[in-house]
Amino acid sequence: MSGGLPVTVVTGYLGAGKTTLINDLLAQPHGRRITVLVNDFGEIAIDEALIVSRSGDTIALANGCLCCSLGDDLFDALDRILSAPALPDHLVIETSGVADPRRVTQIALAEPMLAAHGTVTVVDPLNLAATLDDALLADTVRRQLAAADLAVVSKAALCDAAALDQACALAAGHLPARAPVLVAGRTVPAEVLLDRLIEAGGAAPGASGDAAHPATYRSWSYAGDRRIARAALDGLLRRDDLGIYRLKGFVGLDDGSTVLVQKAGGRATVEPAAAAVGSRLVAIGAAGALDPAALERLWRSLSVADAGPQAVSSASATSRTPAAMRPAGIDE
Amino acid sequence: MSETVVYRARKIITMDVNRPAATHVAVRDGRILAVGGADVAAPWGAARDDARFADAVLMPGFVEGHAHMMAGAMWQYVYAGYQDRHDPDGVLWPGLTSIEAVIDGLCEAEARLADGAALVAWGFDPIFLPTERLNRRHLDAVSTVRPIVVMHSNFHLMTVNSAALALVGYDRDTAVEGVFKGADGTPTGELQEMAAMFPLLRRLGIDFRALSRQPDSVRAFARTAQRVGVTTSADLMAELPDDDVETLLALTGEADFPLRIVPALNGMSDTPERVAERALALRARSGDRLRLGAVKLMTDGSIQGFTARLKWPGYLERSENGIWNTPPAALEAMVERLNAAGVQMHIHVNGDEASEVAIAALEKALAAHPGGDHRHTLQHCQMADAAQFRRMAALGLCVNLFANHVWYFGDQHVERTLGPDRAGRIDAARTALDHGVPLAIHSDAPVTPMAPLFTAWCAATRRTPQGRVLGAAQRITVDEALHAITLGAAYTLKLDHEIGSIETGKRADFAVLDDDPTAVAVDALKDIGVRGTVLGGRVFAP
Ligand SMILES: [Zn+2]
Repeated sequence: MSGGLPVTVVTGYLGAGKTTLINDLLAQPHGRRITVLVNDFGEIAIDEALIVSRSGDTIALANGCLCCSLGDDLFDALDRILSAPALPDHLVIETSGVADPRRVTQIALAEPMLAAHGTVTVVDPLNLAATLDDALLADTVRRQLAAADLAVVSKAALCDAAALDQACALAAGHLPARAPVLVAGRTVPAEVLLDRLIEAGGAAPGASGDAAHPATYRSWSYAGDRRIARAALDGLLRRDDLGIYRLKGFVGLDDGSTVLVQKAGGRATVEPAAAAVGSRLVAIGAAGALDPAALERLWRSLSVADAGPQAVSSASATSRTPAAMRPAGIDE
Repeated sequence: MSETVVYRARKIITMDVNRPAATHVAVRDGRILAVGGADVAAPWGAARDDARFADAVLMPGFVEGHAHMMAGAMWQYVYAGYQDRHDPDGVLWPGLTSIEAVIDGLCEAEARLADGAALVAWGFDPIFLPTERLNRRHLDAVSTVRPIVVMHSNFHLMTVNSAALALVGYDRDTAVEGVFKGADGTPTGELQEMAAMFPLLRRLGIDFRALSRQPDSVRAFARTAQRVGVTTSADLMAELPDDDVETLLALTGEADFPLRIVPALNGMSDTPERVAERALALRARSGDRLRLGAVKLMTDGSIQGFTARLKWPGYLERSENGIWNTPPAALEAMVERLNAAGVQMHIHVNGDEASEVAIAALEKALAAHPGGDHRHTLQHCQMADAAQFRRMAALGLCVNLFANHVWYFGDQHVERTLGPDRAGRIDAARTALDHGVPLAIHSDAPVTPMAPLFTAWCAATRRTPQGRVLGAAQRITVDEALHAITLGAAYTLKLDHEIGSIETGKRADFAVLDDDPTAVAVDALKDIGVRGTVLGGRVFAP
């Protein structure tokens, strides 16, 4: 059922940072009309400048996104969305802090009008160890980690490097092999969150029918104002020695235009895109093949900082080895 | 001055220690004026004698402390259960006691439907038909073109035909946990849990919750209650938007509306502050037959669904524990706030870890804001052990145990979910009473049928369909069980000063019975005929 409305489930224990992730997602210039069903409607804090209207339990944004309170019944909310005259481009469902996200994914798998794109589990590095030690909560949190297709470690800036490494290692012990761990900078690009993280039927990309492809990934991502010349971009996309399994995002060219870049396996495409601010790129590759630090260095050598305000890089490194997980460039 | 009516009965069981039995009750202005013998009204002047109950037994109107309005809505669909049931209009639906009978019953109903309409049945329970599992092929014999949905009695499962499967595109390639497949790899027609059921329900326009809020469903709910002798029922989880409150006030204000309803506001969908505020505002809108102000909180799921939160050693057949509906920390905050605001809470707890967490939250809240006649009630509370009951007693908590569960799910708890030890002490009514915890017992209709005498029978006998007596030590006496379905339940709804017993000053609410529950054999308790009710002095019995 790949034709359905893509659904991404965002889960994580209370206070893990789900709402921050969603607030940020809604504010990004991703060009999609996303409807977000949120659990903590009261916590949603969207820049007032982006809001065009507000009614009881719905906030409409200028970019076509909607943020709706999930209320007390997910099925009612889903029925309303699926019965509306126009479907959004993407549906994000924030689960409650104690929900079993697998149950929500099952809905997306069962309903022909929906297509499960995966589960993003937000991990709070400050509290993970405590929740895993809490006899009442440990299994709930383990379940949320086990359901992840992607784990996003929040609050990295509030955490010293050693503590972050420790939390990542702890999380990795409960995550499925398919799930990359992203240490979030200020922004996790929409492409990373919303792309299909699972294949129809529930398997991770590359995990089925491809024994040579390891199920552990590293990823690198960038969001900021740096721009690149078209020739340099083409050169980058032709490289087959970078361990990139997938690469996707928007890239600002030095002539001021923006292009949508996609690379999967050996094929790359570059298309003109509506104006976007700066560049947002994500690359995923097998652990051991893709080196996030090297990719970060390469990107910085090929691109130039825009003249505008200070660029914010939220490059992230992932792997099963804690030492490599420190976010590159987070303090830049 | 308004008229005084004296009802003569074969016997009146009052639940009032001062006069446990009587033969006459005088009623004026919808209230009980006097209770006693033939001359009961003499001190009060002229009275009219009414002998219509002369051969009946009167009890205080039964109080159902935990049911759902949905119990009325279900009758818009075809009943396909194993036991005989009467619909709200009194029509008998004979139990369907074999797969063949189910198919025959569905064929009959199918013949009455308009073209294109789906056939929806409810109340089916495979536990009673162990020889073969109902599947899509059985239902295809009823129709290959019309979608057919047979909802199981627990509402967590349904069996559907091939036309229904085709409607949602379920086939051998479907990879959804709740879509069961047979040995041949194709769906059997059995769908489990909402995720798998939802696509079909929405395509067929079946929405039980929306249906439950319609006036016809509310009336059907009231008539269902009336038929089993219930004069007051909780509706334990209502959203109560203004529209619904208006509708309920109008309906319950109609003179011939036969039920007092006590809805509990859903406390799970807003902040503690706003829930407290709404509950207090709702309380002020109460009418005689609509009592608002209480709040329902959820903690865990159900034992039979493996979603209740259990303490060690957990489930027999599963290593995973159940699921929290509310994070324990959020429950604590909510309980703290509502208790401080003086709002009564009905807290759903099934597993013993959930009751533990709820008790701990209440301990904290009551330490911060002690005193007050709070009557916070643990609902279901099926796995609480003696230690938890001791803590509940110390805190002045009430309990409303799911006695019907012993019959409907007891065997399953022995064999699949809990094992014999803990199954033997589910819904521990004896322990509750021995520790002085105020006790009610309930049906959770429509999960199990509303019928307080049956509920009392469950608590007094603890029998199961397989012939077990499940935990003989937890049986209570018939008198105790009758108390639990009248005054006991009234206490948990904070209405014991108005209803629950037949004594001067209380509302003239009676259950009209064919026989004396205290005189028949315990096993016959559930079979006593109920003629109807009297509610606030108005007779709802032939
Ligand atoms: Zn209930």
